[in-house]
Amino acid sequence: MFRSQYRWSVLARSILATVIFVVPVAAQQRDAPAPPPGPTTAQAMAALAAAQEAAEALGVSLSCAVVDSRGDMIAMARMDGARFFTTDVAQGKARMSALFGQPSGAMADFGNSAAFSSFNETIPGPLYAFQGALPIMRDGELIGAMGCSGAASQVDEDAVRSALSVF
Amino acid sequence: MKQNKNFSRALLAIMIVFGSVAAPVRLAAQNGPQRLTLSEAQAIIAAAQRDAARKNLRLSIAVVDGRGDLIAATRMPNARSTTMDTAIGKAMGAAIFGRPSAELAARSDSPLYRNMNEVTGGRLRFFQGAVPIVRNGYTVGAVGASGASAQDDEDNVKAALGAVGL
Repeated sequence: MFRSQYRWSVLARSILATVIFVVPVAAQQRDAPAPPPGPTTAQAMAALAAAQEAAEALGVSLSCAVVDSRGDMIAMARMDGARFFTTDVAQGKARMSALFGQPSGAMADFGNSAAFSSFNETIPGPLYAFQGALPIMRDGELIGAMGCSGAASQVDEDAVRSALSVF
Repeated sequence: MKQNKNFSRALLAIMIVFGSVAAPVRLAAQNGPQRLTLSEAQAIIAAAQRDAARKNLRLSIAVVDGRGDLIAATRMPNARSTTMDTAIGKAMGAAIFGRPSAELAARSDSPLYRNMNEVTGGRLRFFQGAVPIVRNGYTVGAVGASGASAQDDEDNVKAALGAVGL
């Protein structure tokens, strides 16, 4: 009888010690903030590799970028021979697609509107309403977008589409 | 007559041999040092990620070419979103000035540095954490990291360059 009571009190004490000492220490560690929904780094890099393969098969040099649902870049790559500004365009198209959950090519009319120019001033960073980026969905939720730039816009979009199976 | 023919054949052979050797050398001289390729940039990033995972750091890592233009960049899982911009900005500064970004920090307020930042669209970040990549005496690019302490960022990119032999 005494023994089992003693055992319980040891258990209670150890739980109390855990709550008092371990939990605050864990809470004090500088953990990353809860990130916005997005593909993982590994998925993003695999998608870039897939897009590069598609671009090589088509004989073009592209820049491709993967962004999360907030439009923040997760990974990008500029193929050898792709022009320097294609990195910005790929990123800008991907951000456009991620922020609105649509293919960037479907937003040409919005891109010409006055609403877009004020939106573009509000949101820092490049935004391009041209074809070449597609949204990335997971279980019906928008988690980001991928964009490519460097060839005809239809070719850019085809390269993205062939990489989307990674997600 | 026959001797003459042999001589011209030998001359032709010598020209072909010499031409095949000399042409690539001349081409290399014209094109300058070999530029950084995407596969090299990706190898640097992979090495930096391995080093960061060993040290339990969450980083964004960016590789730019000698002009400061982006080649490849990656944000590791749980690295803060804003670290990507800082990694790219540090690498751009290191490439454009051909020095570790730590050396640029002290002079970041000088007129030249402010002007250079205007020229490049305000993207430069003069903080420790990026080093230039030098090949044959030319700055062919730079690699920058962000997400840990400035010293850890710099140690990480140096370790990555060491691992890939650049």
